[in-house]
Amino acid sequence: MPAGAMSGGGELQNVKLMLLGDQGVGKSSIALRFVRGEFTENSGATAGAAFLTQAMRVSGQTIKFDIWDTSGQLRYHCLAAMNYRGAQAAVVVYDITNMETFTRAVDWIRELKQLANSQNVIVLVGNKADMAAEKRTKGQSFAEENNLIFTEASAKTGITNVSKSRHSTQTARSKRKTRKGF
Amino acid sequence: MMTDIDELDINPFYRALQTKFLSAYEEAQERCYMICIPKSSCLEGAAISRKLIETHILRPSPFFKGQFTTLKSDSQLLVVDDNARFISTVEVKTNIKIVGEELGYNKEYKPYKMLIVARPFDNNLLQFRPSENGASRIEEMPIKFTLDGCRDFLHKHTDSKLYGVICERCGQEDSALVTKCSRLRGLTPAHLSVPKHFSLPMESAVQEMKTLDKLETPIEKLYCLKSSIDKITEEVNTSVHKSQSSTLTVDEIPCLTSDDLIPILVTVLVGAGCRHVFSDLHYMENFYWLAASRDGDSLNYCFVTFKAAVLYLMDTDFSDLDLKTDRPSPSTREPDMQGSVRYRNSEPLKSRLDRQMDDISRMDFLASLQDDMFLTSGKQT
Repeated sequence: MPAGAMSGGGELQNVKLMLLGDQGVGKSSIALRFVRGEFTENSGATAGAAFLTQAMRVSGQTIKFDIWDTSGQLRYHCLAAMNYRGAQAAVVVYDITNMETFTRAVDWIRELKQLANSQNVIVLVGNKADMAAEKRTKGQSFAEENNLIFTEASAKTGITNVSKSRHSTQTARSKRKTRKGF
Repeated sequence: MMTDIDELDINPFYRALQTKFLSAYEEAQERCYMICIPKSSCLEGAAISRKLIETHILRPSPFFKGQFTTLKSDSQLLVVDDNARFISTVEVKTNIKIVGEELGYNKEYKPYKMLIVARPFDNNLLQFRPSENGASRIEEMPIKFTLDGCRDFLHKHTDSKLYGVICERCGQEDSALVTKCSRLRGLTPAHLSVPKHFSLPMESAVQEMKTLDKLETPIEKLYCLKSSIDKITEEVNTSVHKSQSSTLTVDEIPCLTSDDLIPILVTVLVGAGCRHVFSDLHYMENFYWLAASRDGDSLNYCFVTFKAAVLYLMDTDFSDLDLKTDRPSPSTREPDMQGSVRYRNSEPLKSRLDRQMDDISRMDFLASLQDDMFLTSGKQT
């Protein structure tokens, strides 16, 4: 940690962000892009992708993301509530080239909504956009129907869309100014 | 290594260094002195004095490795043990646990260490603000701080008794896990289908996990879990970078995810052979009172991951495993989503109301523990 990296002053808001999705859809790549990519100077930890932190300034406010990669833990039903407790945002990732992962993403979202309070932000991300010939339709329409933020991303070829999805989460959180969790 | 940014973000000692005592901080940075930061929970309500600051900035001894004197005085001698787990004050012979470590860089990009320690070197250095003493302090304090005070008081007076009762309650599960671990001696990450590049001996993590039995308070035990997981990620990171960084770009280097971390933690648990794992789980879950207000932080993450590893260990049938080879067990993990299917086939997730009912059940569990404690006290008197 560089000297004074956390001494920016101002109010610091903690956001627990859950990263959900099947194995192999690219959750970790997206998370690592976020913390290693264009924001490397503030990165708190990059040793593993299981737990990452990232502080950012959005609209004059510092937001610290605690990013939980939880797929392994969520195999155990009794741990689900523990995982979701206190989470304010969830990024649900699926692989655009594998519609089975989209079906599972839909399941994650339904379960999240069952537990969530309405203030929480859910982002649906279709990953591996660089590999898909035909895009959007299913994910986009599902997101519209369910009032989710939707984006397509390619952690492999570029960060633009990924950042956009994360930025949406930040601004949504800033506007809502709530600390309530799932 | 996972960093506990939370701790420094809210730490009054660290804040005072950056503001009121900036000159001392700058001197420490410039000369690469080691800064020991008492953790926030033991500084609540205390004024940070210059004396406290200068006693916790350590200069390396010119004579002996691992020995330090303070910025305040050349005669105050401190020793850091070889494994950097404890720092000892020579004069009063006390060991203070090191609960975290951060590396900072000065203007010349030279590194200096910041150790987060369990308490100040000398509690007499803490001066509590007059208005926050006594009854008026209790009235003014937010409920969290009041709870912290109660927690410290209770831990001081009831820890061993409470833990004893929990161990009695969870005795069967503890024994079953010990038996299972002893049968699985020699279990490697490869047996659990962890990718080859992450399948390493995790000796430092095992050694760290072995200390779990000896630690007394829930927070110490939680830091032990965090430290074990940190050591796993360090081992993996070092190995992967050594073997693959020449051929792959930074983005292509494989990274340890939750799906691999949990089975690796299972092998660490087996290697450590801790005697009271279930008791420790109950103890940490029910008696770390700050947990409710710090759901997102790395300690909680480590706890949930540890619990998942314990469940993995207990729920998995390892009978078809051949420990003499590195061949994965068919019943442990498929590369695809065996686990998720199992998860999705289980009962539906609980609603908020159900979870509130769970909380009430948990309170019942705590109340029954309390009864047991009174019974134990009665027997002793």
